[in-house]
Amino acid sequence: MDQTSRPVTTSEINSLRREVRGFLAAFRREGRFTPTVDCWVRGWDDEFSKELGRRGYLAMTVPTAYGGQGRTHLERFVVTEELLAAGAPVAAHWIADRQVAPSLLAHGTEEQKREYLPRIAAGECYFGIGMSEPDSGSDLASVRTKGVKVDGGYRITGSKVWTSGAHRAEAFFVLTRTTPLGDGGKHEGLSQFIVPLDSPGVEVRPIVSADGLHHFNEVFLDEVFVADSAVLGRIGDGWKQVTSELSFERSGPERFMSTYVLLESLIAEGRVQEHGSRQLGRIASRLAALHTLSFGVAQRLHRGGPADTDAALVKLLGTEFEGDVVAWAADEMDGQAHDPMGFIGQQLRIAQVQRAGFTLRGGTSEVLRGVVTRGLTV
Amino acid sequence: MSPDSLTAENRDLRSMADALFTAAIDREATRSGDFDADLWEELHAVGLADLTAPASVGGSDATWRQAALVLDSAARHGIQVPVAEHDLLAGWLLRTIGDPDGSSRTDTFGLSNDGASCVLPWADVAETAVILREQNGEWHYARLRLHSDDAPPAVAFGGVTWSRLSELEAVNWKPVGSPGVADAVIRRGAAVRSIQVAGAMDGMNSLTVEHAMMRRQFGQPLRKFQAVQRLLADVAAHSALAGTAVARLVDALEQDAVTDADVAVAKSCVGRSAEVLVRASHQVHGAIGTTQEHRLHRFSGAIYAWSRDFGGAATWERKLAEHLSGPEAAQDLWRLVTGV
Repeated sequence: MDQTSRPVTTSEINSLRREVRGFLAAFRREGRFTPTVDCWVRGWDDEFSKELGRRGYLAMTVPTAYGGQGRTHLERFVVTEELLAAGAPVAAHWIADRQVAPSLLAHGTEEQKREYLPRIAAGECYFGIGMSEPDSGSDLASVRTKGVKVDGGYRITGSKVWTSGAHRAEAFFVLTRTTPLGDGGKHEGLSQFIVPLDSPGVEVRPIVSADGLHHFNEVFLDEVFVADSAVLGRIGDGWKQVTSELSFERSGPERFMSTYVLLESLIAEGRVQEHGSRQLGRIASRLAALHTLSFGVAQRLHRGGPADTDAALVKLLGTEFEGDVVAWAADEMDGQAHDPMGFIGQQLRIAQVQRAGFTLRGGTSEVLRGVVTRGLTV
Repeated sequence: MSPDSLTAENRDLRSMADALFTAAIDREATRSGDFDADLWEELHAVGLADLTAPASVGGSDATWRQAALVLDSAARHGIQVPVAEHDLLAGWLLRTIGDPDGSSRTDTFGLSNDGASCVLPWADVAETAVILREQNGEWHYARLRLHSDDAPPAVAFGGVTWSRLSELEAVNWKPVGSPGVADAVIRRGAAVRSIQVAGAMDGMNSLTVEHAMMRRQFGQPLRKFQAVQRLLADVAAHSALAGTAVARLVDALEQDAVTDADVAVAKSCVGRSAEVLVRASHQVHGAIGTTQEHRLHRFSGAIYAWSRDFGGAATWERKLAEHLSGPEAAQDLWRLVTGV
């Protein structure tokens, strides 16, 4: 049996949770990080990522032969959820750990796995993902970035947008069209490449977000040469490869935990007003159910079953909930003398700005409703 | 409850329940909203009436998960039977207290808020009723023999007759003993209602999907319209969320570790999601779904009737918020979510 699908007991899960929680509480006390809402996008800290690598909290589902932990998706879920609850700075390694490592495992060559996985596990190698383009947002299959076969490799030309961390990452996955749109469907003829961001012909331009920070980038590729060894998976299988990992991306705890820090600080500081207490009950209940729904998808994926619809439901309901927390927090703080530069005031302000992206990133709610509706049968 | 997580024994149980309730859908009693006495006899015959009672008193020794399967099955088929009241509430209370009379053929159960009257379901068809009341911090129960020639004020709501029994001051009230028993029976009541509402929500979801696929307007099935798809997605999402909250509760019940907070999570999620789901389902059905003839109201009516019983979402949300107002509120919240 594959290491990552072995059975895990509840007590193993719970003791891992306590271990991570203890480590995070100590780090927080020592001021080694400051919690933030939306920490998996906003909190970039190389040193913290390396610390997680040293403690065995990265590349958890990667086999030990590649430097990973050989643990299960359920254990990764628990670690991730605790990191998000603490508002820990996890953005640096997030994409590499969540998407790149599983894709490399599923589709990568032996050489690619040896090149990247051990360093991802150590928290030293960060990645971006180049999927969307200026003219291809939700309609991903319409990408126009071209990969043209040349001697010994491919030349890639086009531009990618919303590439998180491209200005600090080592490489990114680029979805390209390698066969022109023809008689085949638009999902055919797409391929993925691993492109180092310091390759000649790559230019990274910042897209500054409304919160004033630089998370996203537009990446231009001008005849960028990559060797045949940089093809990820198989030429022509790009669409299948990209969509096969979507359940992991959509169903994780980051889809309902992005504003947990705000919720937690409101109740920890006793800022819930009497008339708002029923709302707190509603929010706490919804959070508990979303956790169970999301963990249920992780269990399904752990057993190797399909979970596309449920994963879409987690993201649809979870991101709506994240926004509800923000609106509720604003209600609770309404009329209370609070310092907009104090911790809660600051977190509320950031969350209000970031909220717009919650229901967009990783598949808009409208796209997700389409996924759910297509999955309906009598 | 997804079939892949069931044991073979429980899959069989569910198949049996599904078959009985499917057969009952088109019977006259169900169609006219009356009590289906034949179905109730059948449930007795196959051991689904005294479901969780021990074998020593003629019960089936079922677990909470099994009881939930049966309640869920009835609810998703739009069928009303007094399994919850008879076995999981009245029967459980009598067994727990050790009442010497034991269960009748059909027991119902009610909570008296003022100590003198009680609104409860099934009093029109049950032989006996178990009533619970609190006075001066002490919990008492009474066992009433119901006479079919009495006709207390009653109203039909959600496919069940709800009656008001009054002048209860003089009946024979007996102490329940430990106060934990009364709290437990209230939690059980709220739990069975949550299970039933989530089941009815699933039934409503199925009807809605089916209607959106079969019904054609402007030359195509309703499900082709994006505006309708939005409604369908909301129905599916809220049905799944309610089902998840209930599955979480049943896990806690099965482990005999259920708290008020667990019940609150289910009551709140189920109640709030039900409101979204009922509205969207009716919207998809259009005017067709507003008639007596169409089955849809059996589900929406049952959802509203059950949702408020043993405390609605708002009641339990307040209770949960109180639980989350102590000095360790943040830890309490995260413990509630993660179980650790």
